[in-house]
Amino acid sequence: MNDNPNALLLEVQSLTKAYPGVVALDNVDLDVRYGEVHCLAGENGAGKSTLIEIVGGTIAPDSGEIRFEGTRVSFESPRSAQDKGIAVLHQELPALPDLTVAENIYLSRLPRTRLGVVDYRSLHREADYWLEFINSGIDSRAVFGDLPVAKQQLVSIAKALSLDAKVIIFDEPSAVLTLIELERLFEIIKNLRKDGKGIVYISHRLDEIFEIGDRVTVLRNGAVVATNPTSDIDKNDLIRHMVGREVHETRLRQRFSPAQDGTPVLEVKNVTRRGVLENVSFSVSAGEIVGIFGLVGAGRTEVARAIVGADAVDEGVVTVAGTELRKHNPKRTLRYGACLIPEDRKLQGLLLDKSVRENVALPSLRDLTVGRVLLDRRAITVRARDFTEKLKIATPGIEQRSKFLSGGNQQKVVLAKWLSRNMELFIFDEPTRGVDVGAKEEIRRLIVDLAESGKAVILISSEIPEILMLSDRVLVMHSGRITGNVPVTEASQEALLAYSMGSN
Amino acid sequence: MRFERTGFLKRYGLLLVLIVMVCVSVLLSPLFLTPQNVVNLLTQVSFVGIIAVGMTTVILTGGIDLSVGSIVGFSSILFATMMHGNLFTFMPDEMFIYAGMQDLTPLLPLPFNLFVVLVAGALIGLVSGALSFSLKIHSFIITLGMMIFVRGLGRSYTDGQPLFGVPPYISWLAYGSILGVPTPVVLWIVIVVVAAFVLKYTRYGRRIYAVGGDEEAARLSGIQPALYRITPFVVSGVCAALVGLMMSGRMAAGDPKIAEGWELDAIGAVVIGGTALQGGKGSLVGTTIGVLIVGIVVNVMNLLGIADYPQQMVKGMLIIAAVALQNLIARFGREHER
Repeated sequence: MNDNPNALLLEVQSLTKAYPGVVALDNVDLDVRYGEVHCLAGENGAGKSTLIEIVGGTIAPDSGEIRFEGTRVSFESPRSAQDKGIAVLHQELPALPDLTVAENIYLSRLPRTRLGVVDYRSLHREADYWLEFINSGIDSRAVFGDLPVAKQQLVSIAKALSLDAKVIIFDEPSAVLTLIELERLFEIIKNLRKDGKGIVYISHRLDEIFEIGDRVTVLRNGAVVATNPTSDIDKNDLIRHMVGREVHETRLRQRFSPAQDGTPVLEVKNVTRRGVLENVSFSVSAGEIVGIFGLVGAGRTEVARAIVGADAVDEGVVTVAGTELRKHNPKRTLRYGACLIPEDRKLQGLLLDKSVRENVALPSLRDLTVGRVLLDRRAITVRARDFTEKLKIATPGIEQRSKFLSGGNQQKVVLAKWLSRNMELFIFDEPTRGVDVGAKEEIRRLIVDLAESGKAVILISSEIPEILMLSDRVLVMHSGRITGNVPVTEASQEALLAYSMGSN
Repeated sequence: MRFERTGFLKRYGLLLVLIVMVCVSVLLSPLFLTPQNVVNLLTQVSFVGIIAVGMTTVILTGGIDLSVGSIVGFSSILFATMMHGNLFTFMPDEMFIYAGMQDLTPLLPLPFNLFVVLVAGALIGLVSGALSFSLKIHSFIITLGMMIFVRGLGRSYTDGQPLFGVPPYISWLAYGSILGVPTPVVLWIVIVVVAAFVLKYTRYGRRIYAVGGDEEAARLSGIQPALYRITPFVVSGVCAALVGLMMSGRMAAGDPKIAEGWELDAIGAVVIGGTALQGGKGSLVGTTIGVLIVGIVVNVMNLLGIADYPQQMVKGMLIIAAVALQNLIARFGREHER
């Protein structure tokens, strides 16, 4: 069976799952062959997560069946899927940071001695074997939470292998990995493919799908749109399948020429935070979009936090709209007209349990009052409604609680929060991460509109195409320093990468 | 690896504090290191020490058990009434509260009476754990209710009065000794060692850490959380019931009013010992050191003749200072990593 290159390892037939009001999966078919990387693509909410959760045994389908190596299976728990040989590597790694790497790998099946006591020696021997097998360079005795995210990913791969998984499902691993780490991951995946494993790979980044995938299945609104060998289609086909319309990845921005006389909106001078930032200086003019690129850990977010005063710096001065800010905090910075729209909207940008209306109004409550004391409920409602329309936030109404919105719409609510105040400088930290293709486009347009209306914008992104598409000037960071400061006309993908790795 | 992260201070800081405190105590009072005082000190802390073992297992799973003090009082009066031939029946009015030993008509042969009391403690814990888990209500609330309920239950037995008359051999639990070591201390050590072993070397123990650390992550790893969320309360209930029996021995009576606030003493010792209230992180070694630290401070203040109420003030400050210090060390460590 294994010898037949087209033999089916995993077969999903007419899987259907409905939640109140939504059909998450509608008669979905999917198959995975031995030794194949099968990519799943689709916008957020297309049903990818539901599909892998069903295959991984986390949730039960309403109807349909799963065949594994030809026999019908049904899973009542993640454990039973694991026992069969299906491992899911979740995007947000479910892991126990205070336990060791080895314990995380073998948690549900710690080896025991004859006395029934946990056999730590063989636990570490086994764990080390698998960690070495993928060349991870990780010590099984390390505390899991101490590892960088990329290494944590490797641990879960080791775990999948130790389970003797035949099907390994990667749920957007690239969202948390840097390019170099991703290269390594691809190498590992290629080796797994050689060993006859079936890989399911989910990603928002289309380049990856073509680099690593053998076939790709596109989901839209819970249904399969198409399954093709990656060699038969191109990026534009894929995007068309995903969104149902053409989206061009072309430059959204006209050339920007800075005003002759204008003092910059933001000036950062010699900002140093020991061990994190080193002598960072740059400026941003009104109407300009400055992109900041760098690998994870290069200090991009830290620069943003230093500008708004979220972290104290050891040296250096930040000047916003002509005012020197020292020992400032985010609240004071807001008064001078600079705001940071953080990367992790679920943790820092949004009150998930609160309605769209409340979230939008939150930063501008001060202006939305009757006589400076009482909240003006009507004004708040009007403003929330305005922005919901303006930003095309897809929500049943402004009273909808934010956690029920899709990632892209949540991000738009975060944007609405800040747009509703009159700011001079907007700092966007990964504004389109984890957002589907359609919403990405809309968010990018908003950013361009902001600049065109004369605002200064800093755009932090790990996606080079996004940086090239939007910014006028690109700063590249490497281990806390700015290693490149180039106009976008002179920036190329290769150059930015080179700067980001510290070479000139 | 572990050493790098946690650093020397974080790993051995608590032990260092203990050693420093012993040294300071020796300097403050020459009586401190006398064998008599050490034995006294250990005996005194062993009661809360045993409760703190159960409390640690509960807190490791992210819960808390406020009912233990009430369980101690309830167990002690339950045992005494059983010794007088009653079980789950409130004392009739005509019953002689100050009944002497000659009036003892044990309901069951002695080992069974003890057993019933421990089972009662286990049941109370089981109810708390099961309610908290199945209703998805934080155990703080459930055991707060349980604390008040069980205290009322215990007091209803004898209308809040102590009931004298327990067999002399029960006083062995409080005053006896094994190889020269007081029984409470032996019991404490045995329980700590057994529980520490279970937590470190059995799957059950590791899964308690896992479920406490992140229940969803544990579930996705193939662990059913129910068992690990509920059973620690049973352990805690049994520990408290045992302490109730020891208290009966110590007072030669059952008294439903005793051990009020002990749950807080136990929680204090656990957090001083570095166990995180959010669960998943901590150890019994830490708890034991926490119990000793509080015990030493109280002991030295007694030796120095400091009155009760100022002692309370010091105890309160001690808890805050200890946990604040640990946080500072942890933060310091994190910043140094960068």
